[in-house]
Amino acid sequence: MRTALITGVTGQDGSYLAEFLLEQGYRVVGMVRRTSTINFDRIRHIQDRVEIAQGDLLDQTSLTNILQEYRPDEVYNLAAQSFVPTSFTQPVLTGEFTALGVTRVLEAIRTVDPTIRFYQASSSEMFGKVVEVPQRETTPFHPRSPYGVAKVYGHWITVNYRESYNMHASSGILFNHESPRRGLEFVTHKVTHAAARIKLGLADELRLGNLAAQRDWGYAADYVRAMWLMLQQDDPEDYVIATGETHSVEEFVSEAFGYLDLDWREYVVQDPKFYRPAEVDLLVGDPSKAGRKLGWEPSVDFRQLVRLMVDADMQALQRGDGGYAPLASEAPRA
Amino acid sequence: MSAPRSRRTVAAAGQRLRVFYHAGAEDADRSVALLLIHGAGGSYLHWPPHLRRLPAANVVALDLPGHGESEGPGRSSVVAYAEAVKAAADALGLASTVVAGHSLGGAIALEMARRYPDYVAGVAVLAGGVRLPVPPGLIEMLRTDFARATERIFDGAYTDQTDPRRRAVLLRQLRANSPETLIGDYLACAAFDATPFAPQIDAPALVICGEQDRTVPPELGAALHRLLPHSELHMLEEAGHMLMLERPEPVTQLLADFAARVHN
Repeated sequence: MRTALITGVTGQDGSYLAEFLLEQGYRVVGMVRRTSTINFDRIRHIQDRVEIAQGDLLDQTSLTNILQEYRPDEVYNLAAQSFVPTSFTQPVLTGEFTALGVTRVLEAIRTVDPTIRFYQASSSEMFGKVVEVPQRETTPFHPRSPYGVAKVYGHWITVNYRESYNMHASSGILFNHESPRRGLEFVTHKVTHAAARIKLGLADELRLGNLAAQRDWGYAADYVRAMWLMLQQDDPEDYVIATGETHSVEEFVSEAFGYLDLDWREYVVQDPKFYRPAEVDLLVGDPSKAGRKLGWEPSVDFRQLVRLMVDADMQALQRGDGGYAPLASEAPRA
Repeated sequence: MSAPRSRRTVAAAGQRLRVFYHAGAEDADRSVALLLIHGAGGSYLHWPPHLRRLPAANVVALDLPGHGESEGPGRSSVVAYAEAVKAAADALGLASTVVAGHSLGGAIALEMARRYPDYVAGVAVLAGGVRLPVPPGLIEMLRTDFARATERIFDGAYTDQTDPRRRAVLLRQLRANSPETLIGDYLACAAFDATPFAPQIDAPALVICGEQDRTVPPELGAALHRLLPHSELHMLEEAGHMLMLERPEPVTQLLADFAARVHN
């Protein structure tokens, strides 16, 4: 049985990846930080099948010890301080986790067993002020937030360990990917949750930042499949994972509210408080390399994504809980 | 984008009350103004969103003391609630307005029309009546078995017409009220009787009843209508006690037309 270690297993991607790897027959080890307030909501339904290991991206020794104890075949580094606005208020902490944390994991692999395959979760935020549209693997980076800057470091240190030590280390440059398990601070889930609350008479307005902002949004469950595919290749490489389509926040809002027979214009208030200090430009990925080499393509389109998120929020609010339980419409795929 | 609106809190008689304010009209002095008062155990979110956002009208909907996001405590008489609502309206600087209330809110609107005749330009009573019957034993049950009591209130108030997706949510909202608040509300209902003063209310009045209302039977609304000197009565089919949730379009239309008529 192959063993995979996931950092950030309690997050959106970590929970979907853990589910996917369990279906593939892996033994899954999830690394979590030792804190008093770990939120296991996203992996509660698989908690009896995921082994939990205490470790911290800030602590080199803990990473080395985990590799020695569990001897994984594959390591997926998904842990990060991943919320862009917070990276402006806590830039140093963001750098410690999101940038230097990658080096610590790579160092641990190099010293314990350099044949362990490594996946680094890179981000379209690295493109920031974009040099070309759409963005591909060869597009130069120009990050526009401390988060994006930290992710550029993580990307290049992954490339560097691959080239310096011949390690099987791949960087997946993932464009925005959403799901019912997305944190409520992210605009997509904020929108679908608010639309459901308004529909159910629990709220009457939604305050948003820049409605014109455009993103390439995919479905997180599709994207974790691409991570796994990268580590099954003979040669480690970097891949852009995206839908290749771009939609504005306004389109997302319109689709979510329209699905519930609501006119979004009556409920949405634009609030400059939610504008970013530096907005990124038109982020849209070219996933053709992933299609060609990995055989990867998204299974859920924009409209389906919005609707499955709205459905999940409607169900969660009627149950009176915070959500995250798997939806019928989120049935595991082969 | 749509007209300015905001949610804010306003200090009235030492309490912070939550208010939804929609300024659809440009000239606040001469335009249609509508003040919405919810019923027992309710919140301003019971009013249909389209009514709260009437174009060319200034609409204010508030959470009564102890309800929704307003501070407690609640009150235990219609008079005390009427004073609290008037204090909130004064704090907002509202000019003369049409006051519309649902159930207990309708009683509060009638009391305001009696006490503040210069302020209340028109009064609308939805699912209300000349009296507000409280089921025997309910107040005691709120003290001893809150879950059963709230279930009983809920079953009386909601019908098959209620959006099934909202039922569980609405029951949880009802139970978010403290027992003290609900007891106060039902004490206020039990003591209310408009028979002595309704004939003295000069303001134009609108009475809207749901034909299937089991909480305040439509006969009590019709009786109120007969006592009010300048009243019109509307019976809504396929509507129970929560008629504004069940039939939002006709309710919104009736109130919008009434408010426009009063102001012209």
